[in-house]
Amino acid sequence: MMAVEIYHLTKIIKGKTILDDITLELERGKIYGFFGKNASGKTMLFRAICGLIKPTRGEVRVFGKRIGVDVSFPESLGLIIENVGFWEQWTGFQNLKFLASIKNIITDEDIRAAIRRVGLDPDDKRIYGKYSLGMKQRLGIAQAIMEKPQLIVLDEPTNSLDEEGVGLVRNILLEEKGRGATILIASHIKEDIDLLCDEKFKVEAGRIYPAGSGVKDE
Amino acid sequence: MIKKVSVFITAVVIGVLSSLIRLDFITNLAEGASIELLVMFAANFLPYPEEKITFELISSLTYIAPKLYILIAFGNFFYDDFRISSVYVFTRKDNRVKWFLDKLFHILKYLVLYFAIITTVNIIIGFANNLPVASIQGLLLISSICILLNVTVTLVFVLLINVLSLYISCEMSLFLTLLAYVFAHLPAIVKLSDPVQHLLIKLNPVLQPVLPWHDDGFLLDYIQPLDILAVPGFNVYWSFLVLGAYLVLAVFVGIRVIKTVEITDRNY
Repeated sequence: MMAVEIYHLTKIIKGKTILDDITLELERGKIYGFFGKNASGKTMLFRAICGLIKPTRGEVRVFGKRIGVDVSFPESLGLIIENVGFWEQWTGFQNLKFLASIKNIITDEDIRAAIRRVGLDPDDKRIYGKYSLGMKQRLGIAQAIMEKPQLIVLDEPTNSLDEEGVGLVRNILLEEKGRGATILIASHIKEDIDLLCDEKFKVEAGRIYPAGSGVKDE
Repeated sequence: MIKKVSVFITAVVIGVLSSLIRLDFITNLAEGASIELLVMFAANFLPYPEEKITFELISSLTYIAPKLYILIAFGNFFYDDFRISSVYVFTRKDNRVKWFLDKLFHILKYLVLYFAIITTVNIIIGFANNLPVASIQGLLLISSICILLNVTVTLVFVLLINVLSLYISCEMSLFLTLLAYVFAHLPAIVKLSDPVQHLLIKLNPVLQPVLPWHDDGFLLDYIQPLDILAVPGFNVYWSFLVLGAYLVLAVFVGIRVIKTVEITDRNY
């Protein structure tokens, strides 16, 4: 069974075609990279895969289940989408503990381990509102991986990270792949895509092209 | 996030103030003074319009302000989850409807507590001022009805604010809903022909908790000595039916919206 199957996915918003008849099959246990300019459709594609938007036409299946039909959202999903935050007045641990309480499948120690894994201190008393951009991004990664999801969707995962943070996140993603997770990454940093991904796709004007298919990769 | 403690402290303050405001009126009655009357009049009374315009500031404040406060306090209940961390919260739920129902029961729990505190404080202040209980059964019945009617009507408007906030800004949604909420009190202020007035009162969600206007037998026993006229055919069952219909409609619309609303930003 494929991890993600997309058939003729089209999304039109206010007359503008954001995703244009995309068909794609992604295998389990691989890292897939999506690159392209801003507003090319990368984030919207990820939102469709995660069940956050309804396709105008077409179908998305994750682990065999139709998104928006069989399930509202993929059943085992960790994600970061741009411009999504946490509760400012809570510490990093409190934020993750609240989110973990929704599914209630991991312990406090699992949460602490995830926070340590991204290089943060789970006992840090600073509230999220006081975090630097890099710390916020690390916490986002921690929430995405803490429940050991089968599908990890990351939109610009190395945004705002320093060199050490970028290396750390790359290692984490390779470890997650080793665990068997399927990982989808959208990034404008080509090095992220080149170093990590088993397969690469260029997103341009709402269409998907395999890297090296003749469409210019820059 | 709701500041739970401040909500419950406010409920106590409202309970105390609304009781004290009505206490003189109730204790000075020639006959029939009781804690039941205090509960009915403290925060659940508006004068029936007898003149072209009837506006009693104190009654309007004690009736409208407690609900306005809680509407404002809960106006961002969905919005917080949705705009701050919707992606992280939503995708951890089995489905969107479950998320919506969880939020609904969460709000319901707070509203019941809020109105129960106000009513309980009314009763305690009645006891503290040596008001008699005419009937324990009557007191329990009246208190429960007050709480349930207030909770239901507030829940309808809280849902309206929160569902609207998923489409427009939280502040605008709150402003529009509060405007509609206040405007809906007009049949309690402007005198119209009796049949029209009665019809508007019976169909108006915000006026269902005005207990002294109901013509149920057990309420008339308390109200008749005060020379207050009940609205014919306006009884507690009717109020629950009307508010139930509005609530079902609000929940239905809420579920439809939650199932279809898209979590996007401008960054495609």
